[in-house]
Amino acid sequence: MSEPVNPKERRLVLRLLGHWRDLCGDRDWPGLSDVASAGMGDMWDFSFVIELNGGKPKFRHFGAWHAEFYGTDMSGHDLDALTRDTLAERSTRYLPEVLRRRIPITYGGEVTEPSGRKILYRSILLPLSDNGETLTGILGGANCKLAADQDGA
Amino acid sequence: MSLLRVFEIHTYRNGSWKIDSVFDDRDLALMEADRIDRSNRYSAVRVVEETFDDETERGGTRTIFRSTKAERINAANQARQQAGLKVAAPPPLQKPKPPKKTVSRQLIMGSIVFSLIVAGGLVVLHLLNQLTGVSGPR
Repeated sequence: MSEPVNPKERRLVLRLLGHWRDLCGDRDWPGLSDVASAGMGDMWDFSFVIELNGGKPKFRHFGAWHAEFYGTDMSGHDLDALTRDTLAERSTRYLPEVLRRRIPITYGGEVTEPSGRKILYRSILLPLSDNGETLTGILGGANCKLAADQDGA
Repeated sequence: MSLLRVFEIHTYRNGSWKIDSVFDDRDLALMEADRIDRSNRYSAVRVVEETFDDETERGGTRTIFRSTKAERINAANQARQQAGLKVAAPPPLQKPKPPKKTVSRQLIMGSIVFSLIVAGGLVVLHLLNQLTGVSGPR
């Protein structure tokens, strides 16, 4: 039996998607400025916000749970700086697909982190736009649990 | 062999289907489609499964969930019929009545007949004049 890191695994992405839909209202995307800790409850700690200002995408917000799980608060850092095959890197790897398709996408899977920790994760990336045309940000979220053969690790 | 599989939620908006979101998990896609359907935000929602086989480079799509208002109405009617309740029949179709002849149409027809009579009379007068001119006294 696996040891859950967070019992909200999987459902978190649906809650985030529901919140994103609420923020949308009649628009195709909510604005980057619409996303705030207020109204997100415990989802805020499992979320991250990516700024797209024409340069390299960077984290505007890196949730407290992610900062602890990753080992560093990546707020203000470029996505390029993420260590490969970590939860945060896997959860943002498909950003180009979201930018191309301009719709919410959720992917999950299994990965062995560089630390040797094997996790089952679920993530989601939600597009944001302040002018209704250009994507100006991404609201993301992810959580995970240790894979079955990591019991007692 | 690697079989790629994704699930797209499509919503019907402004007269066409649009891709709403993409999932790699069937259960999550179905749960979200059900939530969208219950919200009544869109008139219809469906989940399309897309597969692609890396080895054979072949793929396919199939709809695994479809829900529209019309289907809900049909389902409700079927349920009522099964429960033995009489479903109200639609009103009988009425044969369309031919349009009534209007006064203006009668006036037009009368004018045409009158014009033909007058024209005919003028032609007869013209012919009589010509005959009178030829055979009359000098």
